[in-house]
Amino acid sequence: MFFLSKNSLSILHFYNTYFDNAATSFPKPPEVAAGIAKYLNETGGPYGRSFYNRAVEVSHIVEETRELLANIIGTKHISNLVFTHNATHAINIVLKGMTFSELARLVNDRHLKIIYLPAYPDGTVNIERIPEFLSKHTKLVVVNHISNVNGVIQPIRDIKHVLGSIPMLVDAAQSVGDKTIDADKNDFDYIAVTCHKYLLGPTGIGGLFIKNPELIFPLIEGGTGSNSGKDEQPDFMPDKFDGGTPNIAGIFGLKEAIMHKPETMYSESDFYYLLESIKKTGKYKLFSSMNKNNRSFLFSLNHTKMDCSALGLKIYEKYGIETRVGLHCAPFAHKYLGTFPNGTLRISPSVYHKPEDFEYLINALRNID
Amino acid sequence: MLYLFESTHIVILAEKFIRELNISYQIVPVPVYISSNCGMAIEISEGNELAKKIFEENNIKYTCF
Repeated sequence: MFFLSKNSLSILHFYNTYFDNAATSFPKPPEVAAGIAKYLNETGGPYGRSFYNRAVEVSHIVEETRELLANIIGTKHISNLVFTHNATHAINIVLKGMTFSELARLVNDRHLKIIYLPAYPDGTVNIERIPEFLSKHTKLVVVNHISNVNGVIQPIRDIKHVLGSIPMLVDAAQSVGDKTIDADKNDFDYIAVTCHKYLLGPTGIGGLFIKNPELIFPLIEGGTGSNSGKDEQPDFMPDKFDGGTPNIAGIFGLKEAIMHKPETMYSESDFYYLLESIKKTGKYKLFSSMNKNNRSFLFSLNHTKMDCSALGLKIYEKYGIETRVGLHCAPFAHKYLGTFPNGTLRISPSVYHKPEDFEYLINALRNID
Repeated sequence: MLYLFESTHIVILAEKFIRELNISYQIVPVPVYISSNCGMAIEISEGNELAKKIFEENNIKYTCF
């Protein structure tokens, strides 16, 4: 990800060319790898299930990490936060565990309708029009806190306020670690997070906050170390959703990531300068929030004369810049933005990018023909 | 006395409070005559009243033997 180049004075420079942090952030704080190695090489042992020191130490780290993650999403109900593989896993627990389970069958049988919330051209939800789209049959509203395509930040607090008692699932995959969520204060029902993006943690570890655990069934059942003599899954938290040994190595890494998150190395004005400089080239259409106040630090673009795949390959081969091209697993977002089926090229910096890395990116985009 | 808790999450939380009390304790397996549960129980020889008080103050459910 670091591209070597020479400037006019023939001094060698390394640039951070990895702009795919919305997929998986890189680099991580060095303590993350050290934490994982510590578990694998030294601590070892299970979470719960046994009484010896090794198991107790592991259980401490798992619970400390659960508490740290709960603090980040803004809940004091720590046991209502369960570890998952990622946000996708977390969302599946909700969708397939709700009383209207067997989602796909219901959709196919036309018993369940998916309705899209009203929005402005950039995808920001139009709060005033939400009530027109709700009915007594509305069972769940799902909101992507930050779009992984154009970076729009949704007004989740205001949306929940309009919804009242209708349950809301916040997909915080792109926002956790970067934006405030305030689970308790906003009375959110479900929050799905992943830890390998802006929390700078390892892959394979995420979380799900469930306000009312009695309303959903677990997706996976199995050994938790509690109620071992019974056939049924425990009905208390977090064990209800903790069947099977968790990703302990990942949790060790996550704890270090949370404890050692660096300060962002670029400013908001640096990011604004990046957007404006790309616009000024006259070669690109940008996909970002219309409003500066709900703009996060990721965006998409398309070249006026070449498709995003060709562009992605060119800036990689010539400048080493790594981006994500295509549909970003978000076909509905692309349809809404008018970029389906070709998609866009997405640029997603991390806290480790510096202004000179942005300058390098601008220069590359300016020189691509 | 031996204290049993619902889950590992609660055992660790309970242990955190016991540590604050500065009393000696030991994490032991759950004896089979009580339960076939695998997992952890906490054994306290002295300071049981303090431990029970702090558990109750912090809403920690336990079973005591």
